[in-house]
Amino acid sequence: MAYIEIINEDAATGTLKEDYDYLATTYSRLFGHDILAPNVYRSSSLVPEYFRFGVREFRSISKDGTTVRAEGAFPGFLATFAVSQHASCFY
Amino acid sequence: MSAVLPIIYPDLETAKAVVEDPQTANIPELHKAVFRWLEIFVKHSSRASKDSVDELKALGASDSDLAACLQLASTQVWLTSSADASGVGIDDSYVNFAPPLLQRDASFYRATQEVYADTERRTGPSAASGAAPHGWLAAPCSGESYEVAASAACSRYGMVPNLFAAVSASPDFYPRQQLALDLLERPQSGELSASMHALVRAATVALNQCDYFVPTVKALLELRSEREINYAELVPDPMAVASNDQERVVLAFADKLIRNPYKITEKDAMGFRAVGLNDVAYVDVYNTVAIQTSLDRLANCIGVLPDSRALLTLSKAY
Repeated sequence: MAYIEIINEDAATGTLKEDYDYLATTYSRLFGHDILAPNVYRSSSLVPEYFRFGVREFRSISKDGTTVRAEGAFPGFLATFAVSQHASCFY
Repeated sequence: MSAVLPIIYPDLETAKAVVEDPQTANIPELHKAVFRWLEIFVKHSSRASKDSVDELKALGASDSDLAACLQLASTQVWLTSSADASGVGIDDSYVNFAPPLLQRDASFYRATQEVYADTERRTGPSAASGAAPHGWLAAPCSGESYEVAASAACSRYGMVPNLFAAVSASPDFYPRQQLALDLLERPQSGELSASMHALVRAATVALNQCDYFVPTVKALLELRSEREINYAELVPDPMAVASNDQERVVLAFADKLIRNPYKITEKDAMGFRAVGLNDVAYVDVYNTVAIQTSLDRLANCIGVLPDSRALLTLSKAY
């Protein structure tokens, strides 16, 4: 249960709706099954400019939705996991 | 994020060992060095030094690898801060995907919450003092992505920021970094005053001890603050400048989000409401803190020196 109001996709309009659709579509394609937009992006839904920033982040991380950066001897996921671990982020 | 671990370490015992302590796990030395580097990034980035970069390079990492790594880490600051500030739960799809040991009741979370230390304060000059303007990584400053970003930055700021040059070995993130800087110039809702936004941003830079952004937030305070606030007054404790209940609540929250984000609870959001700030203002504040912190840590860990002027759009009428 979030601490703040969240606008979910069923109530979203305008750029917020577009961004929800983009996240769901791209995540589902990357992981091979239906995935809703992750909750962490929803946290900024009250201010669509920040929600769009989250989408921009995701596009940079995933190279416009084409990779999960899991390849190679130095996978990108290692960096994101390490930050979460050192920040003790439950999410 | 624990759900991604099996992608990197498919062997469950290895993943479990990494969760317990990556330094004793059976993983490549390069991976262990990355964990050490990013612990500095998260907990005391102002004390980062070239030594970490040199160690990672000696273990086989390229400048491009390291520039990408730090920028991925930077994006993760926004993600973890957003999750902690809002209290959103783990996604069902991730819980189902992760093996049981990594699910929400894993001992990992309880253990790390106990050992996470407060951000340590730097004493004396930044480790970047005396470094090249572009910091400790090679800065090729070439290629189409760089040229596009540099041209746009020149239009906005009349210069190419040292930070943009510093990460030019990995150009995938320029659109993200530019949007971050754009959003940080002003509040994104009508619920947060420009004066409060400038104070929050400056306090964040002070708490992260990021010399790179000091000229920018000094200029922002001069332009937007409704009362005279000298940036130096924010160091080492921004709370000292709080002059009313709203500022006290907002600055205390910013401090917690930077130093101990996992300690944020619903009471923090309720605290905003108690002083007349609604959820929209809360979202505006935590995004400002999170985005600025992501850039502060990037600048600190790459050793980039301040630009000759503030990173504020020239064409805007302040």
